[in-house]
Amino acid sequence: MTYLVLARKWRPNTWDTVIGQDHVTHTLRNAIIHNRLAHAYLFSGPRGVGKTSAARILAKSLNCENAVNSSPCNECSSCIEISEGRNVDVLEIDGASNRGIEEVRNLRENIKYIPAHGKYRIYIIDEVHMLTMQAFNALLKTLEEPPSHALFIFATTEPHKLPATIISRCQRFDFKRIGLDEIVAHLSKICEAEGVAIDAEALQLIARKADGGLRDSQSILDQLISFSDKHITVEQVILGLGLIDQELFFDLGEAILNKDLAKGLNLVESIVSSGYDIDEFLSGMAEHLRNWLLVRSLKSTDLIDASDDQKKRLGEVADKLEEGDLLRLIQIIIDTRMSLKRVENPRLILEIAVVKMIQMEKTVALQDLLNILGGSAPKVRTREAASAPRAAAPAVSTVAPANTVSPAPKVQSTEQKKNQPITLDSVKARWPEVIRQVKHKKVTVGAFLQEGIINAVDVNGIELAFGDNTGFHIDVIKRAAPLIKDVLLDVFGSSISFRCIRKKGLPTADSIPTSKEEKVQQLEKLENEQPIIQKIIETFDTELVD
Amino acid sequence: MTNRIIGQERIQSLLTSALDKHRLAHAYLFHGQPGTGKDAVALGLAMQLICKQKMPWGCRQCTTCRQILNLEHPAYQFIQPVPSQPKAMKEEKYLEILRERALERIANPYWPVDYHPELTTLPVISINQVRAIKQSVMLKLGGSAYRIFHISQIDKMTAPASNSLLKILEEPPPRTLLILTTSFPGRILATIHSRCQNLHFQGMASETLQSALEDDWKIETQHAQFLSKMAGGSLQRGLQMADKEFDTHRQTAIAFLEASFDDNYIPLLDWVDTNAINNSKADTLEMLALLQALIRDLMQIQLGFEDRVINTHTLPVLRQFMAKHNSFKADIGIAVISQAIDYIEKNAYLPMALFSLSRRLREAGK
Repeated sequence: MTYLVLARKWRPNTWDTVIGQDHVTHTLRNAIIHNRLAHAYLFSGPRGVGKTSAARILAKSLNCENAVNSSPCNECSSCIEISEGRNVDVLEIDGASNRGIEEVRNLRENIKYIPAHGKYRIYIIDEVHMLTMQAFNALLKTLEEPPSHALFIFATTEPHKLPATIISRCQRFDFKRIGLDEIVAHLSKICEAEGVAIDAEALQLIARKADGGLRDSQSILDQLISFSDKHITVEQVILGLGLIDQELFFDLGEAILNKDLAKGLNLVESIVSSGYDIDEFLSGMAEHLRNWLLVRSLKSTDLIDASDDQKKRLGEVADKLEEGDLLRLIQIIIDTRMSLKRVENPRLILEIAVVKMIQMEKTVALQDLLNILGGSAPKVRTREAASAPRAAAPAVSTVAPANTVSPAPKVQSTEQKKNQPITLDSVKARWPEVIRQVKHKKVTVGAFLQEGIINAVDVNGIELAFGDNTGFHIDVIKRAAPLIKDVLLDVFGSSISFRCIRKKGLPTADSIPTSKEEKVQQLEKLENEQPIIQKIIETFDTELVD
Repeated sequence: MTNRIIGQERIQSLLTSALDKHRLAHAYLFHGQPGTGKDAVALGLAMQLICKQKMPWGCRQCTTCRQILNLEHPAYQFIQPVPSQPKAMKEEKYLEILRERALERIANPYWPVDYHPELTTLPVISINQVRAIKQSVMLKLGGSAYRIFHISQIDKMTAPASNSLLKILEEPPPRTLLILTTSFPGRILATIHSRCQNLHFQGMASETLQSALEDDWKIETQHAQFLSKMAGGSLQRGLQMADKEFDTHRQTAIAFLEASFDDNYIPLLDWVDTNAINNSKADTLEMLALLQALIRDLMQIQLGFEDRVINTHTLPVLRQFMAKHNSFKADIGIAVISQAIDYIEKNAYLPMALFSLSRRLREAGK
């Protein structure tokens, strides 16, 4: 006696043993009991969920001599013959091999003969999507009005390939993918019956790998039983299926966080030498990063498919990378997988990808930057407070110096403006802000205002000096005096008047330096005053061009 | 040439264990990158099951085993993708070519089959081949013999053929074994996957490859070491590279790299004159693949991991180059070469493609 694989041994043969398709079995049983059978059924759904089995059970229960409660007995001659595929009234046809119009013509010839033993003459056409278009069309008339003793059952994984005219003549049942828990429950039942001990987590792993197909899960279990000694552990599942150890993904994640190149390249070495498929490793890593992203954004681990331990560990590291960074890492992997197809030596590509991922500059979230740049003082403080617990993360450490920026100048000024006497220096210091605000309200006025330099500040207000040929400038500024006064009030906190004078031999205004040296000087000054600017220059690797 | 199964200890122990426990399934799908020994194991398993000696992976000596290796045993059928028969060719001639290539493949399962120059169409497994399987599957063999169908490269099976295999794959008669192999499991119907026990063949460790190249193919140690590191776990790739003139290509590649970084155009133009115009497309492609490996080594030097360099022959030259151009961006370098390879494969004009590549490499050095 040769060995029969689990999937065949455990093929369901009664309605009750069909797993996870209650919506189908229930309906069909009721149809049999109430004698409301259609003459054609279409069973569709993914692989390994019970379509062919259900078709056989239906055939058996219709022709069974002593069916109890619409379920076949599996003992009478009819049932046994159907199981062995030699019943003359139940014809199981392989649609993929008998797909031509000739076969359909034969079928039409034979369908008129009444059944030999049972009540019905049943045609089960499996893989029906492979029939040719002519064959489908030749079947249409028969399918619409078959003899009363005939019943068609079509089974297919690809119902979209059937013509609409076929589908509309059938009662269609969509079989569902089988849930993780149902697979686990079924597998543990099999294990018990087969006398095999198995870890709960190993079962989970198998069920996940099976991806909704019960037969897939049985094939995997079969393979593992034949590999291990009566007790299946998680390690054996990983080894037996050649799965990539999840540990590697966590290691790479750690190397990315710590910018540890040596560790990353060692990892490549061990991946290559242990013979993992590089493409598979990359897709696994993408999946890992996706999980990371989900945990990061949702702050929960409910949506991801992973063991409890992995969920916990992901939860611990989740906040250490920004969402944008995770997306960029995933993008690197996607690009790498694309180029993997074009290259002779995949190891090389993996190494480059790992180096890229590790060397990738971590970004600061936009919101954080905005908070630091333009936000009000309390906002900055909450950001500081929020970031304190994850001070170790690189993403945050990039921000850290920026966090020490004194709350935005504007805020400071509103607090201090009332009691500060107006002096030449204080006006000069805040003049750029005035120009900025004026420009914001009216660009032209701002531009002209920029031309002037502050000549003096006294009790009468600010004296602006303009060079030669600037009569028009002064006119415009005078006309816009109310606007400028508003801005001055806003910036200095008190009403300040101003006047414009013309001054000969004044070539340039000092607020816009033209020579390169002056620009550099001013930039340096700005850098010293405002750490954030220094930070920006460093981060974007900018330099003064002109 | 080899008479043994190289590496794949995991697979060997899996299958042995299944045999010992009498739990051999009726259908296996072996998948993994090319050159990992899928067909070698399939053949070995067939011989072990049929051979009277019951030696692990066949004795290769007895009449049965030799019949199998000659493709003359009734219980063993080897099916592989075949090109269609040209109209001008006679039936006998066509069948003879097919048989000859099948025998070559069985003799050396680590080497891919090539039907050129006689047959040029794309090889596929057609529905007719599957129909033949279905017919012979029903025939009874004497005694308790196993009947084995070894279907290689099942990804090359046409859609009708794959679908018509499904029924037989699900419930074959007793004592039938179907072994399917593929390097591209993603291209296979989910319904086929689900009916088989899937075994993933991992790439081979470089030590395994090195010893196989040295012992079985008599390649000298240093070259074998280099090949095993370049092969990325695939014996087939290692073998395909074995005959290439790496030293010449390496010199050419380095000259190209140096000319690209010369401020003067003359060396580059000279290089293009002598190489791009005289060399064949295949040579150039090999040279570029090697250039990628060299650039990968440059990156290792840049990062301070000199011990990881693969092209140890050229370490001093590479070190020198890196000292001069320490801001070279290896990732961009490799990417632009990949693109150039792509262009050249699509028949770009060689001197032009190489010249443009040279400029882009230089960009990567800035």
